Amino acid sequence: MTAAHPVEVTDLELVRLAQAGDSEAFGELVERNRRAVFRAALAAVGSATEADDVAQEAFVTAWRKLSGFRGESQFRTWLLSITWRKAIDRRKSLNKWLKLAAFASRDEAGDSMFDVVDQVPSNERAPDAALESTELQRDIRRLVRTLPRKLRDALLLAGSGEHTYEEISRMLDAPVGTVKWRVAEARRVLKRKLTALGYHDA
Amino acid sequence: MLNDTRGRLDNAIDRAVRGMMHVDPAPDLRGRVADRLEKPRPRGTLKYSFAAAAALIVAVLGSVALFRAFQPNAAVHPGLSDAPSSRTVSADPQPRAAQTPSSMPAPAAAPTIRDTAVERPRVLPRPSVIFNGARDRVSAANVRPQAISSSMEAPAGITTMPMPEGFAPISPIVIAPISLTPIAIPPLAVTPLTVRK
Repeated sequence: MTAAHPVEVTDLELVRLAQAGDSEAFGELVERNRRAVFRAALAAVGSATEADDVAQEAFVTAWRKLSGFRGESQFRTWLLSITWRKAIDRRKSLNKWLKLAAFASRDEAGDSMFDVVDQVPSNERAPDAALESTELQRDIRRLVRTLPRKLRDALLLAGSGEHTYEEISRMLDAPVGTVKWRVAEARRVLKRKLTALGYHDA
Repeated sequence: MLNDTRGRLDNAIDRAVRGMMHVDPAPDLRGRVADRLEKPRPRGTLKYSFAAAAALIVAVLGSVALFRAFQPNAAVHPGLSDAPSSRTVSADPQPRAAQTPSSMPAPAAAPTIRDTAVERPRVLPRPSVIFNGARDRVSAANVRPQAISSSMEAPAGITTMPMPEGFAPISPIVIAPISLTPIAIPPLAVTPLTVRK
């Protein structure tokens, strides 16, 4: 693939090749976007295993709908929109099962996904992570899970390091300004709750 | 995002969110996607299978229903169940030549009532012995009542016998034609309400 399609090939050129039936070109698109797709799914479902399934579903759906892509937006944005819809569907489905299993009572916001699914592992640890209080990190993660869904989605997508505000705006179907406000509001809520728990900003 | 000018909590929040989100997908994602693209859609195949099975069931049930709807009513009176096998009587007013002597003239007039609404032959139970030994000459099943009216003389060679007591003459089945008459709807009269004190 890399020999047939050099690095300089743009996403749009790869899309055109894939639309003509070149599955290798689509494979290159998968390779280029797999992390962004996976992390978008992860922000929604909160589980690496579920996010992996969602990412796979999103790519397969994109391949099947590729003939309808007109190039009016970037392929990556179009792909992330598909991913987000798939992830939200999965989250709703999982929430139904979780409610049936009576695990949902601990979530103040009524959205218990992050309480019960497996914890997201972190492959990248900041160099000074050891210096942080383990207890503080655990409390922040717990509080993030209790955030209202709209605030939490915006905060996690912005913190994924893979998505621009424009892409988040398209995924969440909200203006960029609204997305930025949600991120800031999520941080304010977290800080307020942390202060209430006895943590100080100094 | 770590910034010395920001507070400790801001940095801790950044680090926690990054720890939650900085996860890479499994390295074989591209291969699994490629495998999925090469496979046929299982759900679609399953859907088509269910649709084909459902269509087959509907076709079978429909054909059974149609078969029953067009099957002639072969119900036999329980009291005649020991009679010989039922015989189909044609709606044709002419008696069958094999059972009619050649000298017998045609009926004086064509039957005035002809069952046109029901074209299918009716299956009637074969009568048991009711004419003593003369059943081979004349049968009530193949001679219409008009043909054996009392005013008609029997042809030569035909012996008529009086009807035994207790047997009423067989009356033909008459199906009146359907007539459409308009329904007269009386006008609706609405009287104003009166308030009673």
